[in-house]
Amino acid sequence: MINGITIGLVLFLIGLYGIITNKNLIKIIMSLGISSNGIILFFNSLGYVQGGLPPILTESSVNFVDPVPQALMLTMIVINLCDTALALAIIVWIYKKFGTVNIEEMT
Amino acid sequence: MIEHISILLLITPLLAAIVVSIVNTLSKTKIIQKIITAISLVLPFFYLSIIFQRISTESISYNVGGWEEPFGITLIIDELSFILLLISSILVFVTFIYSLQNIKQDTEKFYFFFLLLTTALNGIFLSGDLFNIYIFFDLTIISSFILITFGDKKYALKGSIKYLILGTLASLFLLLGIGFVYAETGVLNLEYVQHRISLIDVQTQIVIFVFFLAAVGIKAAIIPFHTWLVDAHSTAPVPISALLSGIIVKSGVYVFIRISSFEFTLPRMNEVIIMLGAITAVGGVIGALMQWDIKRITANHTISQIGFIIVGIGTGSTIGFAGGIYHIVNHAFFKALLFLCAGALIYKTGSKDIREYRIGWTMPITFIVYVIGILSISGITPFNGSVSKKLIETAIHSYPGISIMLLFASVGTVASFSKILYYAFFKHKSVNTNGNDGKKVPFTMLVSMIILAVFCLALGIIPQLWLDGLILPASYLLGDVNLIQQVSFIEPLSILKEWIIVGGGLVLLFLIIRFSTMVDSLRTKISKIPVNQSILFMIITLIIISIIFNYL
Repeated sequence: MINGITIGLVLFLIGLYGIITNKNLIKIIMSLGISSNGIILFFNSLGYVQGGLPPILTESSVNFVDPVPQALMLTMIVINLCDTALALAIIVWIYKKFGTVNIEEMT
Repeated sequence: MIEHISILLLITPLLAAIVVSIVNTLSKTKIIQKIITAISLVLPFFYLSIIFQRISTESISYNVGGWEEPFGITLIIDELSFILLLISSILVFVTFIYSLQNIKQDTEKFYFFFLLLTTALNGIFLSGDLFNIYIFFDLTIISSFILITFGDKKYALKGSIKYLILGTLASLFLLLGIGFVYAETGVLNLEYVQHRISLIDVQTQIVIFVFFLAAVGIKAAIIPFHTWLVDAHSTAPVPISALLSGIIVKSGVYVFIRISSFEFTLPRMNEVIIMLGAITAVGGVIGALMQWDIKRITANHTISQIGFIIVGIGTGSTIGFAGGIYHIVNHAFFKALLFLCAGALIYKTGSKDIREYRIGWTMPITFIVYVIGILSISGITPFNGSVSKKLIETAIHSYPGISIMLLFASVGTVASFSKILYYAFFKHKSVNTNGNDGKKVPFTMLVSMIILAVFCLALGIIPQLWLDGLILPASYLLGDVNLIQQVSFIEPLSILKEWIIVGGGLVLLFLIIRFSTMVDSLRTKISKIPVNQSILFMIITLIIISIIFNYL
C-alpha cells in the first residue's frame, strides 16, 4: 500500500489543502510546488519495475524500467520551474503595488 | 515541403519571437519588429491554404523526429484542428492590427509574448498526444498571464495572479489525469487512447474523467471553475481580452471535445455535461446583468456562451457537435468584435463604466459594428449566432428543462447588451464635453473591427460556407452518426421567437434598472469571495460529480 503512487497522490492532496487554506500568496505558490512534486513522484513510480535496470540499450536483459514517465517528468519539471519563477516575479511586483501579499487585503 | 507544413506552423511564430527579441537588443526601431511579427502572422494562412486542399481526403499526421506513433510525438491536422487553427490565425492577425495603435509601451516584450502565445495555441490544436497538449496548455497560461499584466496596472496584476494559480492547478489536474491514462493503457497518443479507454474499469474511468473535467473546466471557464475569467479578461489590454475570449478559452473547449470523444462508458455522462453547460450559460448571464463595467459585462458573456457550446457538445449527437463547433467559430468572431468595440469606446471616453458614457452619435462606424456584434451574440436571424444557436436548440429538443434555461440565457444576453447600448448611445443625446473629445479612434483599430463584422455577417448569411466543408465532416468524426437531423435556418416561426426574446430582454432590462440598488449590493457581496473559497467550491463540485457517476 505504501508506495510511490499513493505517497505521490497524498502529497498532491496536501498541496491542494495548502492552496485552499492559505491566504498568503507565497504560501499558495509553495503549496502548488508540493502538489507538483507529488505528481513527479506519482509519474516516476508508474514506470518503476521491481529490480529493473536503467533503460539503456544493452544485450543482456529485457527487465527495464519504463523510461517514458521519466522523460515526461523532465519536461514537466522545467515547465513547473518556469511557472514558479514567473509567479514569484509577479508577487514581488504585487508587493510593490499593494504593500501586501495577502489575497484578502489586496484591494 | 508539403509534409513539413504541420511543424512549420509551430516553428514560424516561435522563430519570429526569438528574432523580435534579438532585433530589439540590436536596434530600437520599432518598425522592424512590427514587420517581422506581421510576416510571421501572415505565413500561416499560406500553410493553411496548402493544407486545405488535402484535408478533405485525409487527415495529415507528422511524426516529429521520425519516431513512429504511438511512441513518438505526433502532430495531427484533421477537420476540427483545421477549423481552430484557421480561426486562431485570423483572430491573432486581426488583434495584431488592432494592437499597433493600442499598445504603446514595452512593445518588444508584448510582441515576444504575443508570438509565443500564437505558438502555444497552434501547438494545442496540432498535438496528437496527451502530454503535448499539457505542455502547450501550460505555455498558453504562462504567455497569456504575462500579457494580462500589460493592462491597467494594479488590477491587472490581481487578475493575472488569480489566473496563474488556477491555471497551474488546471495543468496539474490534467497531468494527474494523463498519469492515470498512462498507467491503465500504456499509451498517450489520442487515437490509441480513444479506443482503449473503454477497457478500463468504471471506477478508474470516473477518476480520469473528473480530473480532465477539472483541468478543462478551469481553462474553458465552466461554472463553478470560472472564477479567474472575469478578473483576467476585464483587466487585460483590449487586444488580449479579445484573444482570451476568442481563442484561448476555446483551446480548453477543444481539449474538452477531444476528451469527450474518448469512448468513456460512464453512466449519465452526457446529462452531467449538459447540466454543467446549462448552469454555465445561465450563471454567466446573471453575472453580466449585475455589472456596470463594459469589459466585465462582455467577459461574463464569454462564460455564458461557453455554456451553449458545452451543451451542444454534451449531447453527443452529430448535430450537437456541429452546433458546438460552429458556435466556437461564431463566438470567436463576435466576442472578439465586442471586445475590440469596447476597447474603442474606452479609448474615446477613457472610462469603463457605461453610466459615464455620453457618446451620442459621434462614433457612427463603431456604433454600426457594435450593433452587428450585439445582434450576432443575441442570435438574430441574418447574423451568425442564430445559425449555431438553432443547431444547438435542435440537438437538445429532448431535454425541455435545458431548453428553458438556454432561453433565459438568450433573454439575459439581449437585456445586458441593450443596457450598454442604452447607456452609451441613447440615454444622453448631448456629447460628453469634459472627456477626450478631440480623440478619434485610429484607422487600424477600425479596420480590424470591420474585418470581424464582415465575418459575422458572412457566416450568418451563408452558413453553408463553413458548415458543409469543415464543420459537418468534423462532427461526423466525433458524434453519433445515427442522430443526423435536418435543420432549416430561415423559418418565419423561429424569427418571431427571436424577436419575442428581444422583447423579453427589454422587459428584463427595465426590471434591472428599477432594482439597481439591490443588484449592486449583491454584486459587492459576490466580488468579495477570495480565490481559496472558489477552489474549495471546485473540489466539492468534483466530488459531487464523482458521486453522481458512482451511485446514481
